[in-house]
Amino acid sequence: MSSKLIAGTVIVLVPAFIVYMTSESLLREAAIAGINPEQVNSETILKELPSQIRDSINYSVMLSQFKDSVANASTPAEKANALCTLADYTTDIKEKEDLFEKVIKKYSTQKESANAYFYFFNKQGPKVVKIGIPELQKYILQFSFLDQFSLWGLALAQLKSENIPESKQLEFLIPLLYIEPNFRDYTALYEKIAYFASRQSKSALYDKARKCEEKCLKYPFIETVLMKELIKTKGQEK
Amino acid sequence: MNGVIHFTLIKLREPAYMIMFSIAVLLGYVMTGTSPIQDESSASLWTQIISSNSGYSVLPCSFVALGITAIITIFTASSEIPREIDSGVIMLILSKPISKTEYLLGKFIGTIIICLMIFLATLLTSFLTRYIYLKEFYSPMIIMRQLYMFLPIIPLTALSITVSCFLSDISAMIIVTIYITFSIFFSIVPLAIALLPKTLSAGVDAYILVFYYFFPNFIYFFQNFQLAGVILLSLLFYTISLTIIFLTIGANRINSCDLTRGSMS
Repeated sequence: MSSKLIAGTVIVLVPAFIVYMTSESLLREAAIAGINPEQVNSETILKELPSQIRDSINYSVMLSQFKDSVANASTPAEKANALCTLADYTTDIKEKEDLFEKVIKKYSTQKESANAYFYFFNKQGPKVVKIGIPELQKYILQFSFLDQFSLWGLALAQLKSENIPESKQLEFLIPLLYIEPNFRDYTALYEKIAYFASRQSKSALYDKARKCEEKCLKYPFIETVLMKELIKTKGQEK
Repeated sequence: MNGVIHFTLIKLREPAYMIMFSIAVLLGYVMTGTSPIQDESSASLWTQIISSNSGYSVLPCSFVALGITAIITIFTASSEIPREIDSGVIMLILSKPISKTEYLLGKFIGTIIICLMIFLATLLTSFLTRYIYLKEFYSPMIIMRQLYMFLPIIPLTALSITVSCFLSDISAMIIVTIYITFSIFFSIVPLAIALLPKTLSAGVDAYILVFYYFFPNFIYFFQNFQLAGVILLSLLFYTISLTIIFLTIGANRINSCDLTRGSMS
């Protein structure tokens, strides 16, 4: 292409683009002015957008709502919960890790911080916070038996999802053999220990797990206890 | 250049054009008496823009005229140059004292004249049929508004000619159709984003808006407006600038490529 042709093209195209942009913005304003504001709202506008843009807008709306929740949270439990929700939602990995790190450092005594522990558990690569089996066990064991049950279950599910070997899963559940939870629900966890122990030919652990399971059978289910407490509270209110 | 225009207009004698011309007239007759779209209660942005109470609205017969003219534009403008290159006719034309840019402009003007004739035939049939049955004409302002519906055909012709400078006839038709379809699909996006509160639209990535400028927004040609004013001027400048941009790209291509027989296939 000759330099004369290039120069000619630039001379024509640059003013044409300026006119194009200017006229387009004027026409856009005019089109918007013609829309009846009583007939359209944010929801109807969002419906007309392609899903990619709609998702992008919804994401920013949800993110700002979660940020507001963090700002409005007053108790440590609320703070931990709000920070974990925000960290779970954000797609910015740096922000996510900063938030979870903050939760672990500031709210390690809250059961609402569990997601932060699960996020960092067994994570490869250089991390500020390193969470292994001992740290996770220590975190769970600090709570009441009522709260512990769901955390053991969630943690076990996390271990499974990360394809942690059964020997490690058994190692993780061992502390349960040294506590005496007063809920029948724990039998499921002891059954799991017995299952792993039998597959790994650890008969001593198997026997102990079965004994603990039997002990738990004497106790009521968590749901029953909670229901009784609820009825009691309602009775007192009356 | 007049020779090139004349040479393009000869195509009107071809049976395909005669058939299309008859279909256009028939559709103009069928669409007579249909009332303009006036559904302001609809929450759809498209309907809101084309049925605004301010200014003169577009009649359904104009939509039909535009549709059929657009088909003819894409068909004619996309096929003219590749066929003349393939048959070697272009070399014959360019052996006369005419530049490649003048040839391109001749093709553009010739196609525009063909399209204008078909567009006017459709509208005229519709208006005359109305007069025959109802003994009344539309007001001159409404008629003028319908004539402005020819404006989108101008950049569309320029676009089709430009694409045909790069590809063979069938490929050019397909690419132009896809490009126009995508433009129409994408046209509502910047308007919707502009209508959203800033706190919501802040989440929209800037590249989407940059991407948008690569596509003409045909929705602007359909909005209601007063016949003298900023909108009309903007619409004219918009049409002209788009046409110049497309034709400049086409002229660049035709001036720098090999036009000998078979070079496009």
